[in-house]
Amino acid sequence: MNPWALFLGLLLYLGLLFLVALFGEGRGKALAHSPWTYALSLAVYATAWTFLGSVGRAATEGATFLPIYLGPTLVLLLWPWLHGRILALARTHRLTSWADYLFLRYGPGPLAPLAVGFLVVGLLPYLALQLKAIAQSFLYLSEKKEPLADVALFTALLLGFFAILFGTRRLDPSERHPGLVLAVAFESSVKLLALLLVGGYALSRLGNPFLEAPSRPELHPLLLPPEGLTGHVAWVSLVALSGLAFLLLPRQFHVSVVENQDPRHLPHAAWAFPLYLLLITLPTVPLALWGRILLPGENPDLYVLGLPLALGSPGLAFLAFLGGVSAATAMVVVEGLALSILISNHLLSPLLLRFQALGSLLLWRRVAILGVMLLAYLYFRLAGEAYALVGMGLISFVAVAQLAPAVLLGLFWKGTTREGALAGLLGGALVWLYTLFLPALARSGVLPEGFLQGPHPLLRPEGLLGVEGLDPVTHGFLASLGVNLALTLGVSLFLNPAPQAPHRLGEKEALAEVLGRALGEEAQRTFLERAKDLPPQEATLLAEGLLSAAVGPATACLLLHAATREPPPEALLEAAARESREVRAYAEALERARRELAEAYERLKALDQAKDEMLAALAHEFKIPLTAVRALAEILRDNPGLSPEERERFAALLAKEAQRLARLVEEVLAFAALEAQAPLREAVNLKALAQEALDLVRPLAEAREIRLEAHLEEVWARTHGDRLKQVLLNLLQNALRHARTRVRLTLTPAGKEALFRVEDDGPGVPDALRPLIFEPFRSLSGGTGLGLYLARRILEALGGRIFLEEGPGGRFAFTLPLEVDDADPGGGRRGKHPGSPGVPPEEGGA
Amino acid sequence: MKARAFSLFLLGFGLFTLPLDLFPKEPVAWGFPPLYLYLYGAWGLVILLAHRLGRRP
Repeated sequence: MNPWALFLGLLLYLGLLFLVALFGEGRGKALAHSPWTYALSLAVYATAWTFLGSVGRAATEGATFLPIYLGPTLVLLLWPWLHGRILALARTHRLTSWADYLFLRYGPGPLAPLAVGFLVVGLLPYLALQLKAIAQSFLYLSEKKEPLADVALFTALLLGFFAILFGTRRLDPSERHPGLVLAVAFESSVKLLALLLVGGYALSRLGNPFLEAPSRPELHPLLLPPEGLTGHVAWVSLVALSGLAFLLLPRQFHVSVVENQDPRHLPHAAWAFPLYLLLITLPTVPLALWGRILLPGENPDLYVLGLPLALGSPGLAFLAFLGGVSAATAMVVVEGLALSILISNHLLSPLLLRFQALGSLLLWRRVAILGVMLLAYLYFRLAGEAYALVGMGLISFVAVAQLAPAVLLGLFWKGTTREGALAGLLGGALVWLYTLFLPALARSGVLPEGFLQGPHPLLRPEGLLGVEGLDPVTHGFLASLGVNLALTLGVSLFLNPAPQAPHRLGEKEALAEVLGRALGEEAQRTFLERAKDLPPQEATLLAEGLLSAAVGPATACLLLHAATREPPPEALLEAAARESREVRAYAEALERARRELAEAYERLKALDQAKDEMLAALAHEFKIPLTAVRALAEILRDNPGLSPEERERFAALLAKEAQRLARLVEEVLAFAALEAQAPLREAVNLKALAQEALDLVRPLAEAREIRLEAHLEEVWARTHGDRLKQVLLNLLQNALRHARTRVRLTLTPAGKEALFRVEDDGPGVPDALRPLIFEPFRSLSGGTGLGLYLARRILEALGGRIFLEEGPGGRFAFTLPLEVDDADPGGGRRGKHPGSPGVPPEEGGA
Repeated sequence: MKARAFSLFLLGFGLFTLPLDLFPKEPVAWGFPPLYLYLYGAWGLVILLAHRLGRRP
């Protein structure tokens, strides 16, 4: 075929793929989101290895091509455990790869970068396989004898460019690419259709090859099962290996987890994808047999192209070529994208952050794709030509399987430690290098042939510990995974793990600022909206997830460092709890003080109001005698002709009112003095004081012919003698005003108080006035009405109380504490005297 | 669902990793080798069961 026509056809096909991707991003989004598209996108697993290499494998080694498809079938049956769980984890933490999971599960450290580096190296043979398949196919169809390497280089650059175009238009790798998924599904359909058409065409033209086989002894081994124990071990190992590879390959994670639109697509894919694999492998054995019969000297990897050509159908051969290109392109694009994300997230981003060049991350991701393709080309140049397609792919499968212990044990066993996972991966990788990667280079002549013999018979790279009979891939797989698993388990079980870094918390505004700087204003706004109602820990996780998705968890961790604060260690937590208790105690004390202040304020307000009321009452009380004085004075002035008797009567009235005014002023002054200063207390002989008061009122009693009686006991108290005397005088004078024949004063101790009683045989206080008798200006006898009020105030200031007792006549009583700790000069305490037989103060009166 | 899926996995694993050496080596109808007939038959059965499993509520 004309090479330019082939090249043009190739470009047109790639253009068509791009249109399909654009359709998927636009109007075809619903189609891209269907479960069928999801199942077909998983078929990115079927690469040029499947399309070309499986026929080659079947033509040389028989049925051993099949385990590569049986393993994924088995793994998909476990979707409720594996994929469902992984999807949930990925959605929560915006994981984009297994390396992200390792970072999440085991924390910061060398594990994730090591896994990434190892995956890049390990997948180089797989990528080289695709280059080799396309280059071989191109040269085979164009019948050119140009160096294979030249075409492979061109292929590498073309596929790298295509991967950049498809996969790196945006920074956020956790964003879904419906266009890419639809293009991959389209390619899967093309390769299935092409292979089925080639197989069907060969069968229709050539008939049933199985009927030919019995007569051809060289074909018998291809139809027989693997022989012996080693054959069975190899078979089972391949089933396990392919299952692990299907689970752990970066591109499979990308299409099955990152690009998953709906977890409900999983049960559909669990049968649809295996069905796809079954269908695509159906033509393999017939094509292999007819290839062996019709093209005995040809490369078995090219039977899919060679048979249509041999049967005179170049159009079908071209379709087969496009099928192979489809298989290789889909793999390279998705694997290149997945690897570039791995590299940029775990290797490049931390470096770029250090050099403050994180803004060029997308550019570096594109550079990473080209770099990976060029490395794959280098591997192809060094080792690719010595291996068949399947052999190269299997080396990569074993490399990818080294993630299995860290990932699967990490998912299902809490005891797996970071040190165990690291030791396992390191050990497995070293064994893989020694048993598979380096021997491949030795077989290609890059390393000396003697390497394959090893330094000791027990250390032969393809027969460790003297093992014989296993093929190199099975041997390398079992040896590397065995060492890996043993180290992971052993170190996890027997070494104490290093303490994990604590979770960090950050203020939402600071986190948003970091997001804004790293991902732009839109990401900042989105974060602020979503984090509005989240607690700090979840907001930090959200920010970490958004950043991790774009720049990888390692870089996200570094970026968030400034915006987060370390939670306090245990000792600080205890101190904080203690301080918190003290703060609570202070707060309670403050609250008590606030309540007391509020009560004092209310009391002061009431006192102020009472003072206002008293001033108004005083003005009123002053006004009455003043009016009388003024009227009497005017009468005397305006009536000079008054008789001497009348003039004397008016003058007497004038003097009486003036006396009343003077008394009023005195009492007001006493009240003012009481309000202004706290009483000074001293030891006072109450009996002597009472006797003195009796002596003072005795003239008045004699004048009114009232008998004074007393029963006084010896009592001492710390109090203010003058004020107490004033109280006694007020009460005695009040009693003398109302008594008919006698007034009695008694003093007795009552517990910790002194009890005074002033009794008279007057009419007593009417029931209606008893509650008001100690209020200011409540007089029953034409007095000022301040006497009893002042007595109450003074006693309250001295810590005592006054009340009116039940019984005939007037019966006033008051108590006084013998020892005073505190007293209220502005109002005192009002309580009930425990030993007093009287009524409560509120019920007193005169 | 999980128990059924795991049972199916065990069944598939058993079917796919049987000692294939035990199978007869003589071709059966239309020259088809018993090895491939068995493997594709078992594979088809597992897919069918997976389909039925996926349709369960």
